[in-house]
Amino acid sequence: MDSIDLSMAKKGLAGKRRLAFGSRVWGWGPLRAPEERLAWAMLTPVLLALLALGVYPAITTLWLSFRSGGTYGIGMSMAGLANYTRLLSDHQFRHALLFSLAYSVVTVAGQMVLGTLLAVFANQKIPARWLVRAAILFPWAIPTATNSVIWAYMFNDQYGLFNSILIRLGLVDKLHPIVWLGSARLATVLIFILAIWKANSLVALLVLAGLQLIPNEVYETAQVDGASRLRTFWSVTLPLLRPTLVVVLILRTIESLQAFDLISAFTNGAPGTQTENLGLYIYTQIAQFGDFGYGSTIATVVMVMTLAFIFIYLRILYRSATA
Amino acid sequence: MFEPVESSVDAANAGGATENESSTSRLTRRALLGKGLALGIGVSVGPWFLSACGSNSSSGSGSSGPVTIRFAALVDQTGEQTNEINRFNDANKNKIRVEYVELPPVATDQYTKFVDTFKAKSSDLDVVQIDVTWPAQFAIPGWLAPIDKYITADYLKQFWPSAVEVAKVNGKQYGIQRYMDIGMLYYRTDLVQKYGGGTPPATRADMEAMAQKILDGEKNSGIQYGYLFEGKKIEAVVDEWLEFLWGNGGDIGEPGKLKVNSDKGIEALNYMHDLIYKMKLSPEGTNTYAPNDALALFQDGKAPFMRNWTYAYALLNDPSKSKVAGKVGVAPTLATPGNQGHGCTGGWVLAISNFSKNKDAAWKFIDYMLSKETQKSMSMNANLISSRPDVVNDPEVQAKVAYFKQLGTILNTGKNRPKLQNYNQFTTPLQAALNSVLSNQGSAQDQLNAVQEQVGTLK
Amino acid sequence: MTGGRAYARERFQIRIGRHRMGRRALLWMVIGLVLLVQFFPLLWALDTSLMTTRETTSIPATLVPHHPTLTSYRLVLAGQIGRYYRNSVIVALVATSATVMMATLAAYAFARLKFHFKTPVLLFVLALSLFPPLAQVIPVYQVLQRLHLIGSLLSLILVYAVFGLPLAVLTLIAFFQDVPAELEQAAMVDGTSHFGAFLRVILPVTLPGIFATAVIVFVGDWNEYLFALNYTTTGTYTLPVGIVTISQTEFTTSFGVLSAALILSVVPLVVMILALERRIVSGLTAGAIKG
Repeated sequence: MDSIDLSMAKKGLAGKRRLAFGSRVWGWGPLRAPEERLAWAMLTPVLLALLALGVYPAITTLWLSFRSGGTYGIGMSMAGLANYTRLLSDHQFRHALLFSLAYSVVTVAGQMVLGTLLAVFANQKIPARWLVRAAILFPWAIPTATNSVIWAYMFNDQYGLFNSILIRLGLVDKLHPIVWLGSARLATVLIFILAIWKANSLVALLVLAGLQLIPNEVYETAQVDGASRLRTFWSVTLPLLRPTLVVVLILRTIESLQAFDLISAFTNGAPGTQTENLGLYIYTQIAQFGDFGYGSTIATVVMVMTLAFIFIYLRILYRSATA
Repeated sequence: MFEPVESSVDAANAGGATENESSTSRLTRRALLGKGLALGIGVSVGPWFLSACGSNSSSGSGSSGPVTIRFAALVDQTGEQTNEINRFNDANKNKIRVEYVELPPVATDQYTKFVDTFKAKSSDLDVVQIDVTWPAQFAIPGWLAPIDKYITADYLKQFWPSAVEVAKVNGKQYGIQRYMDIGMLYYRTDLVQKYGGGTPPATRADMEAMAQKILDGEKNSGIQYGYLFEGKKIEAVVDEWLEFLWGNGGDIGEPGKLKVNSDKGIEALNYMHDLIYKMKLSPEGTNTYAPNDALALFQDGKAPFMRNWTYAYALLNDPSKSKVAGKVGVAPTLATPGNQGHGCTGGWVLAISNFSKNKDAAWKFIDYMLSKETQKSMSMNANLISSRPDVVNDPEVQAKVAYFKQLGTILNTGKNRPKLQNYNQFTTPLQAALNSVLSNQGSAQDQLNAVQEQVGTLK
Repeated sequence: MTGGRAYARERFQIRIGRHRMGRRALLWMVIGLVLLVQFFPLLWALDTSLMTTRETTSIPATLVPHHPTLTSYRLVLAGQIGRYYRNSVIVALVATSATVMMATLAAYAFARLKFHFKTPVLLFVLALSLFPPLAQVIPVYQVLQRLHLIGSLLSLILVYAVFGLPLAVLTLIAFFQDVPAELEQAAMVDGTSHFGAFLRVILPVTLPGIFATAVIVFVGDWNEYLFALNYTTTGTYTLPVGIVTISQTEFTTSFGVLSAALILSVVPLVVMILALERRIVSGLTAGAIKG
């Protein structure tokens, strides 16, 4: 990429631009300045927006994690690392952390696989293609909380759809219907399925767009070479999709570590606190207990965790870009 | 058979990477369209923002024009609230005008909105209708205005004792309940007649015996369970536990010295657990039941007894919704021999925001809402339980809302939840603990001990 | 090129010709499965929206309403859903336009331009999205409160426009990187400026990606609940908050009304997005044939 850029820039600057940008004044090589200026110009809107509204909340959260006491942010005082040490002995935090990690790993893997498969499928010339596209888009289009309420409704042990069908089929006793949301194991599985179901359309949408950027010649070459469909997919399509896939992976991981609406409207952490994740725990601390300090601490931990994930992913991303 | 669809890269290449008239113009047109759209919307929508922001200014200067009072409360499905407000506005034309501010239906969302508004010291709200567990939370930080200067001891005597007590914080009065709620025992009058001689059970043992008899005798007519209650991880489960505790003569103590893991506390939780798993009188799904779920079972005729809030009564007697309409009675919650059943109180309190600029006018409105005429209208048209005994015991009202006849006793023995500065810090861990035990995950003793550590010092 | 493609197609058809019938049936089964899995809550919501209140919580569940009724729809339409719709449309549309326009520029810079401090700046952009929104609701509330924007749609527009940036930028970076490097070179050989090449060559090619990003940002803004709940008031509720308001009371959730509200809000959204996508995609291929 680097060598191509340079030659490109050389050619592009063959015109009148070079002097106009006063590259010598900037002190860098004459080839870089115009591109650099353009880059910064294009970045300005985003940077301004983030500086205006994005930096303050982030810094506030960090700041609050070093304070404690008071109620709903009123009457707090400095507390150093007290909040962080409190985390170490907090069982509920530990459980929520594990649940969040499990949730993240399982649901992100699930939605990546399912979403990619769906995208590849929808990209083919199949009958009812637009109906399939609608089907793919639909789960994402429902508000998360409303969707969770509908699912909880379907899995209600007495008047829910699933148990009623199972009872009619004779698979479940009317007097002892399956209590889907009442068992920690079942509820957790359902939460994972719900999350994968909901997000697979997002992944599919992005991968589909990525697929459309792959020129047909690539497929044709593979066909002419006698590669099977599967081989083509594995060795040709997937590598070309890599940038898209890695970005989707990052985005979905970020979101999965912060998930709140989905679980809150479905089980609200029940039974007990068995399906409570970090998002719910933060909500409890900040919105219910008014403990901004501790809630911000947990939020900061989530932030650090997510950062760690991203560092790893970005390495892969940049490596694949320069390859 | 499968062929990849045209990719956009091919399309661009086919169209030529260099000057293609239509694609360039489409592009710039698109960019312009996008910007124009954003601008256009901004312009058309701008005035709305201003009006939304500027609404504060309408609470005039006082001398000329009516003073505007903003009243924040739940949505009222029956329309009765709107009528009450309109009548007040008519009667106070040119002096006071009440504007209704709708709150989200979920209590936790309302709570969030109130906290946001109070923290910002906003004068947007004047009269607020708050849940019975919030007065201490809002009064202690100084977000509510005391109403002591507007009332006398005699004035307060017009209301149920708990309706007044619930909003008394640190010796000052911060509001009065507008309407009441309380946990009650619902029972099937026909079945209790057939198997129990017509008197609803007063003690746990009575209930267990009757329920068992009914279960054995009525299997074929749809009865599947004995006793329904809410075990979901919500406020109701704490209230029911309190009812079992109080009904056994127990107590959780005063703020600052709360005790949830007393012997009687543990016993109450064990009883709830045993109802499901030992006596099998309650369904296994109880740990997921909200009030509406227990109601769904009862109204389908699946059980003879249920503990629920007062809202269920009207729904149960609506033939279009309920299979058991006309066969429903109410009684105090269960007790043990020698003790009395105490329902857990609920409902909504009218209070004044401390940041309101028109506190006197706000009180005028509250006084109106608490007056006998308005309360009578409210009870008769919206089926809400008045905070005034003289309304609940009024024969005309009782003719319309039959169960008010039993309500007197029930309300008199009702007990309030502890008044804490942060009630959530008490109820949230307790809900989780109770729900855990009801889900068969942990012993009552361990769970309540853990909760005690968290709530023992709450004030 | 056409020769090659026809040749390949011929080879394929010869290979599968014998099994065409079986393959066809399998294909339809897969399509059916996909449709069922993706649509089943919608179908159940549709079913529920036509039931009476009692049927919605009947035990066991009523699978087919005995006397389908439009009561739920009537209740929803009698309420404020029109206003909620309008609020959602305005907020999502304006915020998404702003986000996508800003993000497209920035993403191109990250993906295709060389400049110093690229990694730190990218991390800075990302860092915003790393904090759970839950923790940021209150600080942002304070900022907006001081600007007297609480309760107005503008507050949501600003919040969504800004908070949607990291996601949009990251997604668009991937799409820009997918584009072959030769395209810009070819354009700039003729003396076009870098920005000109961006506008005339890269943008049209990545349009599906930009559209997909716009859809995701739009739907994300459309469905957002937490900020909407805190920053709006009665007249400015958006759909997610409005749906809860319509369908829930203190103790009851009316599943019929909820389902009807869901259908009324989601179906037009999906149809509209598909229609737009169709136009954009077919617009591209049409341009190809013409040129």
